[in-house]
Amino acid sequence: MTRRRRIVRVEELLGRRVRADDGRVVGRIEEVRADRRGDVYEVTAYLLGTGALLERLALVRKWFRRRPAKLVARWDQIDISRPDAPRLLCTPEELTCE
Amino acid sequence: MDLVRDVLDIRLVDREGQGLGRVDGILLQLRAGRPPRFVAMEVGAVTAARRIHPRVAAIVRWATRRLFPCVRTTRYAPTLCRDLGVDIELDLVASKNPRLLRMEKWLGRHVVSKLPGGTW
Amino acid sequence: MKNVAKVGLGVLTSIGGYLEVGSIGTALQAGARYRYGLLWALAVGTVCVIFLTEMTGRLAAVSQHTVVDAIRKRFGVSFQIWPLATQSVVDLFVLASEIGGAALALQLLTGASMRVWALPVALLVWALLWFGTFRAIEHSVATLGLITLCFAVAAVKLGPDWHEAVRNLVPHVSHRDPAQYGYLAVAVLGATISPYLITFYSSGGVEERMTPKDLLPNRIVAAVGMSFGSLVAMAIVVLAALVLAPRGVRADTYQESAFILTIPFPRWGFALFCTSLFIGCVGAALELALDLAYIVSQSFGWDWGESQRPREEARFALVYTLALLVAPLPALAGLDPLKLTMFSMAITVVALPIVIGPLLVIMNDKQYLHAQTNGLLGNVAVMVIVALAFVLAVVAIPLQITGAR
Repeated sequence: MTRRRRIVRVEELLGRRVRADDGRVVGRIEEVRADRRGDVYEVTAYLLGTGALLERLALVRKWFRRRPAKLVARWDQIDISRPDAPRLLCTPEELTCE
Repeated sequence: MDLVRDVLDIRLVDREGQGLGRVDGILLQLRAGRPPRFVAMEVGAVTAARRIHPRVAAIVRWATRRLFPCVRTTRYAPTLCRDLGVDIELDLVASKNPRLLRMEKWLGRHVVSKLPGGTW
Repeated sequence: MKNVAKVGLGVLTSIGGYLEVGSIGTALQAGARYRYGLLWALAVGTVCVIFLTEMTGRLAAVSQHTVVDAIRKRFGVSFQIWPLATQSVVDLFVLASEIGGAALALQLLTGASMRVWALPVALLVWALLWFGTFRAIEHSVATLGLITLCFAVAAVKLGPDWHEAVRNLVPHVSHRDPAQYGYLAVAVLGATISPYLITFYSSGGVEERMTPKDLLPNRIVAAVGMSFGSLVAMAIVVLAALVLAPRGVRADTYQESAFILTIPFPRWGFALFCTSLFIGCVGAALELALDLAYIVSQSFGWDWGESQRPREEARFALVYTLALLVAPLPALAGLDPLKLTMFSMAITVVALPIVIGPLLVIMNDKQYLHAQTNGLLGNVAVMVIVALAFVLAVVAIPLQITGAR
């Protein structure tokens, strides 16, 4: 396992499983959302999905009218300091759906 | 801004439409008690190679140091973004900055211009 | 009026640029060994190509971006490296075949060995790319390529059995040496549905600054241009069936097939065949060298464009320069161009699924295509083509081993 870092790469986070305290996998990081605040862009949320290949195909969404549900975690609800093993800092029930 | 959808792997262009490469990596700075900060978009062969496999990155790092020592990974601050679309337009002009597009400029000066018709 | 001229030019460009060493070589062997029996493979391949070129042209017109741009953005570099690597290898092999084919055509015309001509042909291709613009190259070579219509005229002149020809447009199997039949079917399909056509066509669309106004002309050019081009290739199959097959000529080499046009055109037939082969191969070599530079440059976000000066896009220009340094090597070594061509067609087919597969996602991406995403027909077509590509990829190498002779 890597040590805690101050600089983290988004591409290293992509697709990583996020685990809750009990070891349960909550989802995989599929998106990182940022907002501009003055001169600075700050991360506001992480989107977690199942990472399923079929769901990522636009065709499935189009034909089955099914948008895959994503869980939204605020920036303070996931610890990404170890990018190969991101950790949920709250309970899964506290996450919202998009 | 969705960093994976809107930034990662997107082509960067300057104010004159000159290509600056693709965003191969995105850097976040972690801060205690505060949201992570999006600090840089990274363009470079080693960054791209790292996403394929660490061993590929090691080979590319070795090769670029030996063959093209002038080539560097370039970082662009997100505040340079002028327009986000299918390409990201940055608020700079590459031809006026000697630190940008080093390989392109070096190859143009030392290889292409030496070939017949290379200066036309 | 402007649109009519654009469509007309596009159709002529498609016809003139259709034939190259792969389509000529596979058509000769198909006709010589199975007469009209493999016309269906050309027909199936052409239908696939019509759909694929229409789609990639639409992508270029609506988004002003290419297939490679879209693949990199949608799937990331760790996926994209695979189609890039695969297609680069395939492009190099096919480029080597084209240079060999052009050198052989000059050998047939002049008597001097193709080894002597390999480097001058590569140099000619390089000079056209280095000093020319996309439009000038595309239109001039395609115009010269209209000489290949001589195959169509010759086929009509010899009075083939049209009913038999039309009957063989329906897919079927042959019981005579099925392994070889299957191998040739795969080779014909590989020559027709070339991955480079897809990436080159979308890059060309961006080079020509296609816009949404060009959607209808694009559709017409794809359908009509490719259909007419395919008819010329079918004419070669018919000619081989009428001229080579009755004489027991198997078209194992281009040399033994070169007299094919001397029956309908006794005086000019040989020169017409050699000139058609030369022009077709040079035209294809230009496209392949450019395609290699396009896919590498677009993958890494470098500036690219044939209409720019080489020193303004040094990396782009150096990619095709390096390719043209390597590609003549097989011809310099004396490797038979037809054997290299048939091998190249087999590996082309292996690369097909990895290049075409992503279209299933990209052509439904609203960020690129807005309201012009694929409809039901387009999506069904892509799925069928991808499925076909997978089947071909699986059977290509075993058939190459058992059927190539």
